[in-house]
Amino acid sequence: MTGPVINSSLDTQPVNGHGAGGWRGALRQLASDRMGRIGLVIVATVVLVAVAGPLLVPYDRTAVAASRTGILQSPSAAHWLGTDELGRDILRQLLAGTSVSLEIGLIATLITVLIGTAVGVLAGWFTGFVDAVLMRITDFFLVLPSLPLMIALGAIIGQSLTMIVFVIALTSWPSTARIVRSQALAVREREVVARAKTVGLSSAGILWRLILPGVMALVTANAVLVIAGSILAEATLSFLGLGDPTRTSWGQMLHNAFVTGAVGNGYWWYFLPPGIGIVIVVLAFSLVGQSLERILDPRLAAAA
Amino acid sequence: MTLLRVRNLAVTYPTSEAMVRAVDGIDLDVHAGEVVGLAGESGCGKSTLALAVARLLPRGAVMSADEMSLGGTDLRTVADEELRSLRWRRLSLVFQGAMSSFNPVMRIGDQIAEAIRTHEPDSYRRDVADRVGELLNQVGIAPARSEDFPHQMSGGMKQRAMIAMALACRPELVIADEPTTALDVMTQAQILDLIRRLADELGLAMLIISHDLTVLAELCDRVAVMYAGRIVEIGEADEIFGAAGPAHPYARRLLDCYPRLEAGQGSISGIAGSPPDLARPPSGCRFHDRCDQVIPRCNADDPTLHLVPGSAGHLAACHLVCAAQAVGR
Amino acid sequence: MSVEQGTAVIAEIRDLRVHFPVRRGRRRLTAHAVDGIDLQIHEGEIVALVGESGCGKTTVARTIMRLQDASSGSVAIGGIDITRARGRGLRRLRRDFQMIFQDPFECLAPNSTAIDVVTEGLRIHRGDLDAAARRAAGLAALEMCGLTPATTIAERRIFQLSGGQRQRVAIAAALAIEPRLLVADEPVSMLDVSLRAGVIRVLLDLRERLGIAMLFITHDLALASVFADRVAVLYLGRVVEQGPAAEVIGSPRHPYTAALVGVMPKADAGHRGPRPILSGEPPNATATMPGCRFRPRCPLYRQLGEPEICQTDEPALPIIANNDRADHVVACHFST
Repeated sequence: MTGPVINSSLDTQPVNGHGAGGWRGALRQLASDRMGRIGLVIVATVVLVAVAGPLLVPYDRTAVAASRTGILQSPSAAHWLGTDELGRDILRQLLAGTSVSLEIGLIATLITVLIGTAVGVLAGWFTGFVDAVLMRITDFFLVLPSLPLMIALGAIIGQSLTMIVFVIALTSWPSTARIVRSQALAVREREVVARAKTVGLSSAGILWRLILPGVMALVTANAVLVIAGSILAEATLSFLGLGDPTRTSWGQMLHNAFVTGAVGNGYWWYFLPPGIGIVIVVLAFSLVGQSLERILDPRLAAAA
Repeated sequence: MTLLRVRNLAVTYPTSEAMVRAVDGIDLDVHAGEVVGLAGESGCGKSTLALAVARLLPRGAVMSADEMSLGGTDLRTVADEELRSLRWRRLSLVFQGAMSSFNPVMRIGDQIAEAIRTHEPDSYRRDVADRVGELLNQVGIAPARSEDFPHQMSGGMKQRAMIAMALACRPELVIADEPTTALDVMTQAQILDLIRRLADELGLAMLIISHDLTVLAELCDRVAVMYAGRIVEIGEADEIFGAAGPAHPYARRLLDCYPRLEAGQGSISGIAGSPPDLARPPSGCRFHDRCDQVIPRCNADDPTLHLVPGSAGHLAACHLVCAAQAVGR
Repeated sequence: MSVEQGTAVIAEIRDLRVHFPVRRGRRRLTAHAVDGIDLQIHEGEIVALVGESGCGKTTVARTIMRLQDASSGSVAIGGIDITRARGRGLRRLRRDFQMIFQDPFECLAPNSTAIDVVTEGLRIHRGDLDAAARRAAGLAALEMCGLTPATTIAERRIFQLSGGQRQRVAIAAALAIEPRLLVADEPVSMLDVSLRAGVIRVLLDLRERLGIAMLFITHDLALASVFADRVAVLYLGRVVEQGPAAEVIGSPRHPYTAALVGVMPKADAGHRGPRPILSGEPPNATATMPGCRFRPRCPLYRQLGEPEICQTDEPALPIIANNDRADHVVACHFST
């Protein structure tokens, strides 16, 4: 049996489950897109560092300087990125902070995506009253200002990274929900769904087997971007002093640097590494996320 | 006088698996004032041929030809500037699904006027407006409707407007790709009538591409049938659609696929199998694995276009037809 | 090649109406997409519903399949009015009526395997069968639709199959659950002309072997003439002529049918020349007017000097007496 002959139509087919390859195809396309490739490499490196990093640098993270001469040292052979105001090794903190920042980003994203997808799919499928109610709830959370909310919650619950995760998720899920809802509405109109109805598939069956897979690709691209946003949000909140002082995250490092007056006094090895680290990681996830979006929506690619 | 001359045109698309020769050595002539049809099913290369002539192939496609000229201009090497002035003034196009390529936020009249002004920048505004009204009249649209937006027009009207736009700068050659697909049979009849009338009145040369043989029987003076990137038969429409029918087995079988009223219930024919994979074309004749008149030679020898015995200008690429000719010699 | 057809009525459509609210600017109008249709389909019979776009034929199909709700009227399949059913009851009834969709590239999930598609209906409607039995039934259905060797095709993914093959898979999936009625909405119009015969033959074969009744929606009169037993011609949501296919197309009695037959495209060189092309566009369903709705485009109306009865009375389609399927009826005041 000969395979399909070349199609004279010039449309590229979205990877979104259609055409050959599905996920593997998407990954292949991601690797071939220059921006995506760069992002992917950086993300892989960061993950590696987060997992194995602290093992690479054999200093005790919390070891405090023995005397005053050990504090705020500029980079040297003994301490590659210098020390902070308590004599602790900066590099070690940086590496430890990688995993904390990443962890928070991932957990916040997971919660965001779960809630956002559920709300979006249900609103998009049922439409009518259910949609209206869900969207009003979404709107409510959409306009909540995260900073004042954090400060208020911090005062009540107490500062912790858990609270940060909670607040980030609370204020991020609405935009995911809206995006998912649009896609769900589109998938709902596809002929595949009409046919599934005529075959006798129940609503639950259609939701699970057709709608959800149909939005998954978009959710993934969106999730990657949410990771970037979450890491940045955590950094922001910790920098402002709303984080947990006992956990080393890059935002927390920036906070400590600021409080110690590192900027004014030129202790660049204290604030530059975490700052640059945040930028690189957020950029990397953004590149991957945008690349995925382009792959999944050929129209965006055409405009690029 | 030959307007469009194409010799040995080939177009190759690179795909992830292999190079696919979508068009493989086509010779084609379109004379001034003549309507030529290009028939074929999906994947035969007819749309690719049209895009190649209009120099609109997608990036990555590789085109080669011994000759491809419109009037005196060599289309293969023409510079971008000249290509722009060539398009629409001498060569215009009506694409498949052209109805949906109107700008939805501009009035139809304005869009046609824009086409005129782009290619004839020195025209006076009033002349352009007059011309738009004249064009709409020619295609059977009341000139008052030039104020309409595309969504206010039906499919048939939009197709007429598309044709009006294609004629805006009085081109020598119009290439139309599936001009009546997606139209109702009644609207299709109206549009075909219109095209035939315009071709006759304006002395237009046209290249009409369609998978629908009935459309080509309606419109064309000459018809070429394509299969797997090649032209397998070309001749006068009267001969090919006439009593004797086509000479090439594929063209014959294709014509048989169109149900006839008199045939009675259940009598419908098709062609078994499917077109070859153009990345790995078969040896010998490309149709031999589906042909019901295959002879041993077809497996090994790839036939080229030869004169059908007893005709003038009717060519077919078939050993059976040519064998008869060889014997007659 | 007609088969011994039982006289049992499988599908009975009574006074079906489907109205949509439509907004034109600030005005609220109603589109009468389907405006009173009566139709009977007998066991083993193939009835074609023909007409131009906007005539309501697709809406009829989708309403029968309960993808669209009827505004009034009833659709009875196997004696049960399916327009009343809902939820789980409706899903169970769906076993009796299945649909073949127009675009084989849009209606099947590209990453599913052929066998998955074919056995999906069995999983839903034949809970009594275990996986092995379902697979066997699925393979048998694929064989019956000409997809051989079935065991090989079964494991292919939909995106690897051509348009003609996908349609056959869709037909196999439908027949696996043994419906009484098959609604085919333009099943071959998106296929290359050389592939159509294969799919049509499969459907004819199914009618012969299993006696499935079919409602065939098409704009292609020539195809209807070689495939259908009876033809019903729709215009603006109503049936204007109905009868045996050969008769309706061979000797049409309604001026609209005559026009459709007249403009039928033919691959025939001697065909060029004046034909009865109707002026104007297919009408939109929001414009309601008194009298016959075909009046604005009717050549007979003009020929007869615009008789008044056409302006005041909507011609009714005579009821087909006694289930007589040879009856040829027409809704026109002046038909021949």
